[in-house]
Amino acid sequence: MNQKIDSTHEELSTNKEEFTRGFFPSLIFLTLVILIFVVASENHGEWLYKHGSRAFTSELSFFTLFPAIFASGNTIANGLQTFSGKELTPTNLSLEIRVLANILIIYIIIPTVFFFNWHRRRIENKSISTINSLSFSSVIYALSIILTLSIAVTMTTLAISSYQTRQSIEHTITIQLNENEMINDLNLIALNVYQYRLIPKNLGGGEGKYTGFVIAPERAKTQNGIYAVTTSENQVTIKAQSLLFPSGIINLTVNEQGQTGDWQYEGVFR
Amino acid sequence: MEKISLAQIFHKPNWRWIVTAYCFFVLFHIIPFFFLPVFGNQFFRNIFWSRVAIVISFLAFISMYIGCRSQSLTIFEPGIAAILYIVTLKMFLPSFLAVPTNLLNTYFVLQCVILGFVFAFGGAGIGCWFKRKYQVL
Repeated sequence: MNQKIDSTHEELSTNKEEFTRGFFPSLIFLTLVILIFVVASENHGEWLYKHGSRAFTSELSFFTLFPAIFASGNTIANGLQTFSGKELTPTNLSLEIRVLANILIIYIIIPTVFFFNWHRRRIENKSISTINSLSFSSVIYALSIILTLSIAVTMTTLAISSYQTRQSIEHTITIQLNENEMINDLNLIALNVYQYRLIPKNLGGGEGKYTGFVIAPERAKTQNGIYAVTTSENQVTIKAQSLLFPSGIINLTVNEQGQTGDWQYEGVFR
Repeated sequence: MEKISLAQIFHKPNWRWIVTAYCFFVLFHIIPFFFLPVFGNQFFRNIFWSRVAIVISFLAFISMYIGCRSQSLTIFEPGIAAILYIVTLKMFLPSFLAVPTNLLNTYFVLQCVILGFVFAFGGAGIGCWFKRKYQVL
C-alpha cells in the first residue's frame, strides 16, 4: 500500500517542474533579508538602549511609518515648540533621508514593480494562476499586488478619516465660536437689563425693578441668535436660541444685583 | 474524485514546500503588516486575540494557496511551516502577536502554535480539495 502511495505521490510531484530554476535561492535570500531587516528595525531602539546610545531610543523606526506620519510628527513637534515659545529647529538630515526613502519605496518602487509586472503579463497574456511552475517573479508580482492594494486601501482610509476629523473639528470650532458670541450678546443684554433697573422711571428706566423692560430690536436678533427676556420684579430670565444651530439654546437669569447666573446650555451647546 | 487516506496526507514531508510555505508566511504576512501601520500595532494593540486571529487567518489563506498551487498533496507541509513561523514570531517579533507581555508565555505560544498548525493544515486541505474538485492545475 505504501509503495502505491509513494508512487502516486512521486508521479504527481515529478509530473511537471513545480518550481523554476533559481526559485529557492532567490526566495530564501529575499526572506532572510526581509526577516533581518524587520527584526533589526523592530529592535533597533532596544539595541541602542542596551549599547549605551540612549539619545536614540525615542527615535522612530526607519520603515514602519508612512511619510505622512513623519510629517504629522514633525508638525506636532513644531506646534509644541511654538507653544512653549522656543524657536523652531530645522529638520535634520536623518529625518529627511527617512522620508525620502519612505516616499521612494512606498509611492514609487512598489507601484512601479506592480504596474510593470502587470503590463508585462498582459502583453504575454498570462496570470499567476496560469503559470504552472512557481517562479520568483510570480512571488514578487504577488507581493507587489498585495502591497500596492494595501497602500491604496490605507491611503484611502487615511484620507477619508482625516477629512472626517477635519470636518468634525471645524464643526466643533464653529459651535464653540457661535456659543462664545451668544454669551457675549447675553452679557450685553444682562448689562442693559441692570441699567434699566437702575435708571429712574422719568428717564425711561425701571426705578429699582426689572418689570417693563423691553429688549431692543437690534439686540433681540443678531447674526448669532434670537434672544427673549422674561421679567419679574427682581429677576430676569433670558433665553437665547442659536440661528446657526437651532438646537443650541442658552438660558440664564439676572438677579437683583445684576449678576448673571444659572447658565443652562441645551442641544449642541451642552 | 478519489478519497484521500491519512497516510497520503501525512506522507514524508516535501522540504521544498515547507521552505516555500515558510517564506510565503514571512513575505505575505510580515511585509504588509510591517509597512502598514493602519493594519498593524496601532490598530489592534488593545484588542486581545484579534491580532492573533489575523495572523492565523493569514496562515490559513496562504496555506490554501499552497494547497491549491502544488501538484502533489501538500497539506502537512504548510502546517509544519506555520509552527516554525509562529516560533519565529515569538522569538524575534513578539510585537506581531500584539498581546501583553505578561501573557506572552509558553502556554500562550503553545496555543498559538497549535492553532497555527490547525488553520494552516485546514487551509491547505481546502486548497487541495479545491484543486482536485476543479482541477486547477
